Amino acid sequence: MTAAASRLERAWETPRELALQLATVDHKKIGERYIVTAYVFFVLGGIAALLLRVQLAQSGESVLGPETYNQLFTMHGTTMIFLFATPMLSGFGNYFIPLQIGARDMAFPRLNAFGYWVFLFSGVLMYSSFLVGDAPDGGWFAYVPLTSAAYSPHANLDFWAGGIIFLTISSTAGALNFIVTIFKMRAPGMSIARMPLFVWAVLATSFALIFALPALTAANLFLELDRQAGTAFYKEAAGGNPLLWQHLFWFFGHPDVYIIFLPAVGMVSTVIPVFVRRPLIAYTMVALATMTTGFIGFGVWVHHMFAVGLPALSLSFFSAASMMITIPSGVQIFAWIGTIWAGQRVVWRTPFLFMLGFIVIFVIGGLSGVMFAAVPFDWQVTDTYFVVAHFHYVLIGGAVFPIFGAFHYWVPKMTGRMLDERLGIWTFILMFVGFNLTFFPMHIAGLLGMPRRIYTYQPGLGWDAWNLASTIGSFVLAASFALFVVNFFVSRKRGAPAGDDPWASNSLEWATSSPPPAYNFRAIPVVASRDPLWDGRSKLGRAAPPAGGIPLEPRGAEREAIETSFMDAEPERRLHMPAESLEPLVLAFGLALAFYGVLPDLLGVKIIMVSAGLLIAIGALISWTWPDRPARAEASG
Amino acid sequence: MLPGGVGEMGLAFRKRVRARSVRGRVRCGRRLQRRLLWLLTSATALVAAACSNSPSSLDPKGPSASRIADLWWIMAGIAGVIFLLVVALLTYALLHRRQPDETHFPGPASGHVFILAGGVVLPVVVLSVLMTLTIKSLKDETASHPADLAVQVIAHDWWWEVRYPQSGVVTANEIHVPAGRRVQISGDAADVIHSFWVPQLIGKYDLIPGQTHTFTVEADRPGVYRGQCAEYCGLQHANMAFVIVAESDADFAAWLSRQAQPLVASADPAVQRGLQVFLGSSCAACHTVRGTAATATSGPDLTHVASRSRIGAGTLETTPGNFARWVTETQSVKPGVNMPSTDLDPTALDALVAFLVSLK
Repeated sequence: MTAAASRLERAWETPRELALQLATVDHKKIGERYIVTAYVFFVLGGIAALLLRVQLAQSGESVLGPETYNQLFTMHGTTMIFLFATPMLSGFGNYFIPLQIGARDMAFPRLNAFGYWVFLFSGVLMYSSFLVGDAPDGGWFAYVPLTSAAYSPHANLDFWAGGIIFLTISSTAGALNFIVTIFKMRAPGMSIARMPLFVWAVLATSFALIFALPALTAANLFLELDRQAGTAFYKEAAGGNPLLWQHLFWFFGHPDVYIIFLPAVGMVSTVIPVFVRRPLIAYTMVALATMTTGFIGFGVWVHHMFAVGLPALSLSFFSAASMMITIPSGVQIFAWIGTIWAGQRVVWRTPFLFMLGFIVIFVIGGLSGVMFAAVPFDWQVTDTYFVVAHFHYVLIGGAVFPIFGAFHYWVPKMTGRMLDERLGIWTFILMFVGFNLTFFPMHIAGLLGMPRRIYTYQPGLGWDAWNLASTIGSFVLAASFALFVVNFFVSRKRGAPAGDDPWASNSLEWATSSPPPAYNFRAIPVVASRDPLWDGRSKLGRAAPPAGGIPLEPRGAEREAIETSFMDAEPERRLHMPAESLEPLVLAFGLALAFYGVLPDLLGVKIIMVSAGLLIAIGALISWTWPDRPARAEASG
Repeated sequence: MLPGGVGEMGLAFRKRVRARSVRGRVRCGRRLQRRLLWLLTSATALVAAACSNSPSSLDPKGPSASRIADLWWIMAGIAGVIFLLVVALLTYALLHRRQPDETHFPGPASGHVFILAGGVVLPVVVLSVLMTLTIKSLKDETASHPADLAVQVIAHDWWWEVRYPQSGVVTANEIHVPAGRRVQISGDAADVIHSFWVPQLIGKYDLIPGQTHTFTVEADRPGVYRGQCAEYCGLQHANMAFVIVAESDADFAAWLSRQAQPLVASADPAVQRGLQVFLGSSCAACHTVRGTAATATSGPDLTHVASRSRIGAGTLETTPGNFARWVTETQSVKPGVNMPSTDLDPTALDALVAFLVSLK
């Protein structure tokens, strides 16, 4: 057994040398990098938000001028949506999907590494705009003609559009990888109807991404062509139409809300059963609701455009679709409540608290969201602080609370140490209070006529008190995020050892050590139910790890995994998995250089930079796809 | 009845005042009831609305905003009940006494029935009601009625051009309308997308360059209602406000005929010097003062600028001191605006201000 373990170790472990760490294709390391990088962007976007709140604390404040304010609110939205929420959930997916389905890695480990590097470089590309003082300032929605060359002549929007197009490469690669991994890498016996709900959620999100991203890429490509090549996709005077941008952007933008929300609710469906000690009730309905949400999410984009002057019939259609989407969410909420109700007992630990906070906040966000479907009411509150309140209830309530619940639940698996429970409870209290203090008053400010995206306002309009409350709340909220970081670092050093399965959970990631070895599972588990770790024992108790399993020991130093069939997860064949590889990093770097080509020629080296970038990228691609790769012993030796 | 001045301008007003006041009373009564009903959840918002000059959508002053406010109170009530229901269920689910017997699960008799009832049937019923209300209110909002007056509004970076086609009046950032009359606004934008919004009267109508958006504004009673651009339009999106001034028919007619007048030469020497400063400096490169050589149209028409309550699209109150500040410190008062700060020696500035103040 130990001999087998050390053979596995030799085959899968990435040595500690820097070059090999950069070349690693281990989904857990890549997942961690996604999570840490996304948290850094979360902090940056949060700092921007605090500055905005300081400026709005009272009427006539002059901490920020309009230029800085507009850049900061643009980068706040862009960062939180593109560089925090999606990559953070990608990070959790990367780390836990292979573990939850009993696989040794993602289906395409190198593509996975490539996706991370592209994400990192596109974030760097966008943030490098601050160095030249031309940070994007068109809003995260970048409406033309404001963002056209005529009204935004500087490089601000080129940084933005270039960064976004570049980033969509990463998201597309990630989504394809998740789909193939989920379809073909599940442990034998984990039929499609036995997949954990987090896996369902990531699957739904990945499909939504595949269909939504092309619209975003096209929209930005047209924007750059209009800006730099003189085309007229959006130019009214030359036969284009500025509304085309809005349709394309929201065809991506609305599904994107669900792309962020679905994996987060997958986390909720993961955590709640564990803390009430019983399987989720109505698994099938929740799984179907997840997929349905991803689907209906594509039918509602026009509700962002109710005020542009569309015919009443279109308005009614999109109004109905926007209402319909609440049904799958309702199903999930009642499934969670029913599960808690039917639970054996309630284990009041921090992961569970965050999920309860999520339910309360998300219900408010959902209810205010339905109101927007009532078109005339939408005309009154769209583009006001009422919307700002609403979507923060949906996105912070619907994604950030579950993410922090997931942190408290899964960090012990990742570090092998428990997070401090007392600090965790304080994190929750500060977050819940700070969040509601920040965002509830915004509903009222919006109803009192305060529009969004204004850098200042006049006294005597009835907005001051609500804004001051929001600003105070935002600092309380920020304190909770800081406290979590403290908790993480303190607990990583001094936390109680977690053991394999501190929560007596039901899914496979808890059937291996904490942190998991590079090869995840010594033997590939064989699954016979939806809750493999709760099989055949007292419902309160813990089963032994799934009996038997397929040993799958390496022949020599090769990495191997099992491919299984799409529906029933019948073993089909052994897969040869790639070793460490620098090509993903080099390819991403080459593309990053090339993408700097969308910017105006600041240093007079654009041609050289773009050609060098493309040459590097082509070289990396050739090397990547070259048949008969040398074994790692040669590569590292 | 209508005063002669307006009649001569060919405006076809119809009398609907009586019907309006009855409807208004009924609506007020209903609204009062509803307000009492939801006082607990919304007291704070109402207090804030009542205690200030807030452009509050919950303090509607026209039929459209009133309908929308009614819709809001209905939806807020339903939402409040559903929220309490969910929280109560959640609390019960968490705290109820559980069977010590672990052989079967406690909880709702059938999970599926519970979920279907709460997650499907309840939303379908509520949403059907809401959809009916939506379609009805949408029909009310988009119904076309003959208008009593037509006004053209063109949104610019960052101010509002206002034109009265029937009388040739051109003004800015201040739209005078007769109270109790349907005013048809044809909106357009000169540069980027803006959005026309007066929370106490109507919701938002996006103004997209090259696409005329037509809608109706009506104020129940005379008053001043603040509006503001609601679509992010660049640096000075925050300072792009306007007011709708609703007046009695007589006051409106008087206003309109005064605005139609070109500049009457003043005998005051300071004003005359000010006009020369105006014409000799960069002012005349962008602004029109009808009756003078200044006929440029890239900035607001200033023929009657001193009659307007604010300058700079709501940025400053109209006072002599603020005129001076606006001219000399433009870029610090409203950074990024398409008007340069202009250095003038004190005597020239005084004369210019005297001239501007005279433009009543």
